[in-house]
Amino acid sequence: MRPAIPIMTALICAATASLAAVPADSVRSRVAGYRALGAAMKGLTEGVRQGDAGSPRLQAAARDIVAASKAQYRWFPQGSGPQPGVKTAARAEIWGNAPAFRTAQDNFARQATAVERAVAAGDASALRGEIRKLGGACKACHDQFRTSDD
Amino acid sequence: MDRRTGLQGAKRKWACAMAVGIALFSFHQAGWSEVTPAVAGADAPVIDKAEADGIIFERQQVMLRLDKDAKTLGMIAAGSAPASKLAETTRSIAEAARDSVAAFETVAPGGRSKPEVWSNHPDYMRALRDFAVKAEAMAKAGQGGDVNAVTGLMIDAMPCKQCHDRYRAPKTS
Ligand code: HEC
Ligand code: HEC
Repeated sequence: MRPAIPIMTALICAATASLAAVPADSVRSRVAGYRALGAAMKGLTEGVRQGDAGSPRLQAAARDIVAASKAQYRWFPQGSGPQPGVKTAARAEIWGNAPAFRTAQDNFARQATAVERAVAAGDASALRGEIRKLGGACKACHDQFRTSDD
Repeated sequence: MDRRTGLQGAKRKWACAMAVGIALFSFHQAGWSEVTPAVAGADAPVIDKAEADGIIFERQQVMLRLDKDAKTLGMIAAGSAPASKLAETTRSIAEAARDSVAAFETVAPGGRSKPEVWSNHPDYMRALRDFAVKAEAMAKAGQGGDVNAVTGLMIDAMPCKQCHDRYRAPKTS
């Protein structure tokens, strides 16, 4: 039935819009995403420190990081920035300087893939270097787009 | 529960938090006189910029974990977070303290680490290792869920401010 399509589209748009309209939920889900990312990163660093290079555990951690690097593009809907009543460390520049933020996201995504490749190759010393560069990509974005409180 | 008891409970928590605060403060006043300058950590390898940023990021993440857990522990000690979290929180602090040793091993100036971290590297590392040992002892005490035992060790096991006063630069942004 033809008229159903525009109606469905409208419903989906409304649903999406109303989801995006609750900033606290967007913040909660991206914070959860970043915590999982932090945990995966910690697992990777610890594994490598213990001499691990290509174990299934490291592969899983690298996969999680790559997954987060894809998911991150959906974590910052318009209107989920700093505002009264919402606790977030995201800076307004994320939306104010979207191209630079996008570049920081892309750099992270690229380096996440490099880490995954290095885990697959299983060379400990190369992997250590790639993980550090990954940390550098995290830091570059945090320095510019995240507030710190201490 | 009548209102007076509730109020007294709140006062007790407050008093406890104050006591811990004062103790931490006086400890910091007394600290560090024994530290002697030493040659820069010449034993550690030097790294390129992209990797150095990753090393800085890692140690900052470890510090942020410590921060989160130290706040929880402070709330447990003050009675405003459940004692059931004691074992897990003290364990997590001990692990992060141990991780902090590894995270500062490689010379990578930057972040909020003062130059003294690297020019006094052996002393700095000794302070971190000592921190890790004491935090481990506190975690052992915490496994039994005895808040008082942990409170007694807390000041020694968390020389956060003492170290920051000497080795951490103020925030820039
Ligand atoms: C493109 C930008 C960007 C990149 C890249 C990035 N982050 Fe973040 N990160 C943020 C922002 C923004 C926040 C604050 C989110 C908020 O509070 O709404 C954050 C928050 C966090 C948090 C704190 C979550 C909490 O408990 O509040 C952790 C942990 C974290 N990031 C880890 C990482 C790690 C590890 C990497 C790299 C592997 C990384 N991030 C890469 C932007 C980034
Ligand atoms: C022996 C020294 C030492 C001890 C002990 C120590 N720190 Fe730190 N901390 C540092 C240094 C150095 C930095 C700066 C790191 C950098 O940016 O290069 C730092 C940074 C931090 C930061 C800022 C992190 C950021 O990037 O936003 C926090 C928060 C912190 N420490 C919390 C703690 C807590 C809580 C404890 C105790 C449970 C603690 N630290 C114990 C040396 C120490």
